[in-house]
Amino acid sequence: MRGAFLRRVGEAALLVGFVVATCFVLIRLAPGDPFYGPLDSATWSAEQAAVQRAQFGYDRPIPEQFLRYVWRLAQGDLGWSHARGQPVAEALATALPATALLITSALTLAFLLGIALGAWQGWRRESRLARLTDLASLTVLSIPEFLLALLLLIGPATAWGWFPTGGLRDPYLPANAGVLLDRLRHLALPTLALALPIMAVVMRLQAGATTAVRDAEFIRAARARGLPDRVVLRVHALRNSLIPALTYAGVQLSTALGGAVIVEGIFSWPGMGRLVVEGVGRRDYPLVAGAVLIAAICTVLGTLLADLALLWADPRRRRPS
Amino acid sequence: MTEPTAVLDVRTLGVRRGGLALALDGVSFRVDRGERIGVVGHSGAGKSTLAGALLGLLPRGAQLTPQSELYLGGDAMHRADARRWRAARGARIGLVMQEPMLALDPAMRIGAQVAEAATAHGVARDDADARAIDMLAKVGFGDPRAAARAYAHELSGGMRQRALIAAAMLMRPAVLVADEPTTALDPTIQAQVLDLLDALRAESGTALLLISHDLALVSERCDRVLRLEQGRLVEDDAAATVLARHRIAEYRHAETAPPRPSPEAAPPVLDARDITVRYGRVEAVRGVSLALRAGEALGVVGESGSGKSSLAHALLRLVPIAEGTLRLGAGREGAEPIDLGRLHGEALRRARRRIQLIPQDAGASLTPHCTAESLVAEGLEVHGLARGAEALRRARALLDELGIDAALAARRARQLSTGERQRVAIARALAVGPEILVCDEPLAAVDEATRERIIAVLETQRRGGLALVVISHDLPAVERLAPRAMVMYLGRVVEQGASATVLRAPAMPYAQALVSAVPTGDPAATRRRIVLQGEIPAPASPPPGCAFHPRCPHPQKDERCTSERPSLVPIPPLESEHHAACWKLPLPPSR
Repeated sequence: MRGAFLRRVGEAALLVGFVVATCFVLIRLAPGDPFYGPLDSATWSAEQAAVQRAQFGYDRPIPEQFLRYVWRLAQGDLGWSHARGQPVAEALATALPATALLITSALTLAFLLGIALGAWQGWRRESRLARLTDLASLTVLSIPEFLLALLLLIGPATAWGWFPTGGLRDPYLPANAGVLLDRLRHLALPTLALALPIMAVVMRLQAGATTAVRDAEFIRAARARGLPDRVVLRVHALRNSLIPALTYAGVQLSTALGGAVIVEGIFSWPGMGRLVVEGVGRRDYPLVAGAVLIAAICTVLGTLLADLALLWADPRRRRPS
Repeated sequence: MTEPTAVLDVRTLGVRRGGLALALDGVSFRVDRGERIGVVGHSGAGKSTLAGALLGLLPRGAQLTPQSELYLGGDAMHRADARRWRAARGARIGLVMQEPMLALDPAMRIGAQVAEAATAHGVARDDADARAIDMLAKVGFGDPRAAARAYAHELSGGMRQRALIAAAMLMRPAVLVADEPTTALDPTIQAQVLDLLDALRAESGTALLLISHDLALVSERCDRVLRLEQGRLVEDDAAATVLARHRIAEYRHAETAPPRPSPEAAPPVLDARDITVRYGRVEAVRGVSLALRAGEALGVVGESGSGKSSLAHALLRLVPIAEGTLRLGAGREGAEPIDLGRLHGEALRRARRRIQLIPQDAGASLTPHCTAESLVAEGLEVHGLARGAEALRRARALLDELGIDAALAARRARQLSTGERQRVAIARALAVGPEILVCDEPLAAVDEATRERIIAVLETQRRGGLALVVISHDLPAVERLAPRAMVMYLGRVVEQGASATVLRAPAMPYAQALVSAVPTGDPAATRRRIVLQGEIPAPASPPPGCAFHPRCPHPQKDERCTSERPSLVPIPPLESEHHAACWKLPLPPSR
């Protein structure tokens, strides 16, 4: 058991290393660099840029740069963000909580609601309402993510004015006003935009699995013991149909990070997504590397968590002790 | 309106399930307190529909006809709503189902599932848990607390069924419906479970409705037998009367003419010597030897876990053979003798045309969305024997021989009945013209009519020169199909010889217990029966000495049985080629 765990951690570390190395190389292969200004720029002369490049070591071979990067990383130094004019660690420290909040709330909403609705829908497959929700999930799935975010921005935010159009908080909020409510109002639309497509998939997976387990012998046996229908669904059917949704959850953290790039852009959410877009655009090598490192670690942790959840859901996967 | 003594009163019960024909039609009967009633019939006769109707658990789309009346202890359940049904289920009427592996929630501990039967009827959690532990002890768990913490996959089939019985009997219902409760179990375990059901019934006064396709089994265990045919109740009589009418016992004990063995001179088509199969440290098969000539048949019997299926897989090299040799003899059409044990890759694949397997649960081995004919034709194409239209034509011809007509052959596997699927699986194995056919439980879970049909098919093939290895729990069927038989226990052959001897008058105690477990229809047989204690030990750690000694009922077992392993020794008369492995055999005249 312990050996398996250590092997797993080793694999994860290898994966993170591979992802960071790939991005490290790819962004250096893209044209330009942090000191490559527009031709008519008054800021940098070619000579000044060359001096800067040499100062940050960008004129050396890429493998050497990578080794230097890893060496500094080992000492806890993520480098200097040229775009932000501050250490990468500081830039990430301000952006990460905003994204974590957005993704956590979106994934929680998507999975809790998706599993609940999907289980109900699969259990009552023949009812009219179930068919309606099935259609609704299909509709959401067929709308591209960015369009969904834009629709939310145009409708509830701009036209009807129920929600703010962007940002993390209201800068002009009077002191002692409802801070929590203000935060929630700002969080609502981006969360929804990120959660809805994931929720639609979770719902469909869960509905399919619930329908499949609905006619299982052990469900019939539970009924024969006199259990009420809702208990049979909640206790026996649900846990035995969670596996597809949990498996999907394992890969969702990375997808959500990708989705956050779009959603954060549309709702001016000051998170990692916007940071990465800015970093890539300005060839801010250290910032991109730092962001990718964080994303890779999150993805690996996500799959690890999902695997643990699968062990909980299905005792047959556990090794005999 | 009903007499107070009837715990269950069924009047003109009918079930409509789409279509025009009723799944159950005008069934009326009465069950008194503590009565033992058997329900028999072919598959599709409405037995399981009846079980569902009695518990208000009909499949989706099925409903009671308006004239149906169903009284449970005087309550009119045909007018009951969901709430009243729920209160009755588990408390006043219980259900035990066929597949213990499927009937337990794989993700919930056994104790919780048993206790549920009490909490569902308003018993407090702590009390329910305590009752569940008591009940688990009563149904035969040596350590009920450990059992309560176990998950279904950690228990054997017999123990799972005991747990389900514990759940069904926890609230001491007035009626227990047992729908084929032992069909999925070994005969030795079957006897244990039926004894348990009967003991619980006698203790709590519960009436037992035992549903089974096996009239002999039901007659042994019940006072009265109901027989269903196409949804109608066609017989309701004392068990002995029904049995006599069907003369099942007579057919079971009929001296079937043993098939003539082929001339001794012919070399064997299959020659396996000292085959050992290992899975990691577990030895599933230990030094088994067998030889078959064309047109010969060998039966292999023993409990689950005795290594029968591993042996079958080893004969086809589907699992690696750790030790021993495996040879195919010179075949028909001048095929060369080959050392199957050493073949690899393409050569092994081609050799497999000569030895085919009908896997256990063969119906499930068919891809559900493929048509029967395409499944059979696939084998012909894979081995390059025919292609396209020609392969389909030959597939249809073969299926037709097995009683699957063109209309059925064009259906998809999932649309066929269990018996039909079984025959398609046989056709698939036969299509490539094998010389040896290994059948792993070809008759498990099929009704009497299908059973006869499959036996006839295999018998015809054997007469045509096919060599058969028949692995089965069904001892009477093995005896009819195979002139020779061997009994396996924990991976070793413990007795072998002519089927008429080994399966009727075996020499060693394990084989004796196995043979005595076969239902004969005679209630007195249950008293003569040797019911083995416990279950087959895990093959990972076989007991020292004679592997059977911990369960052996022999009165004189001693030190030697527990320390030294007996080998197969001939039993006189020597020309019978009867061998058994036991220290307590009557000594041969000279050794």
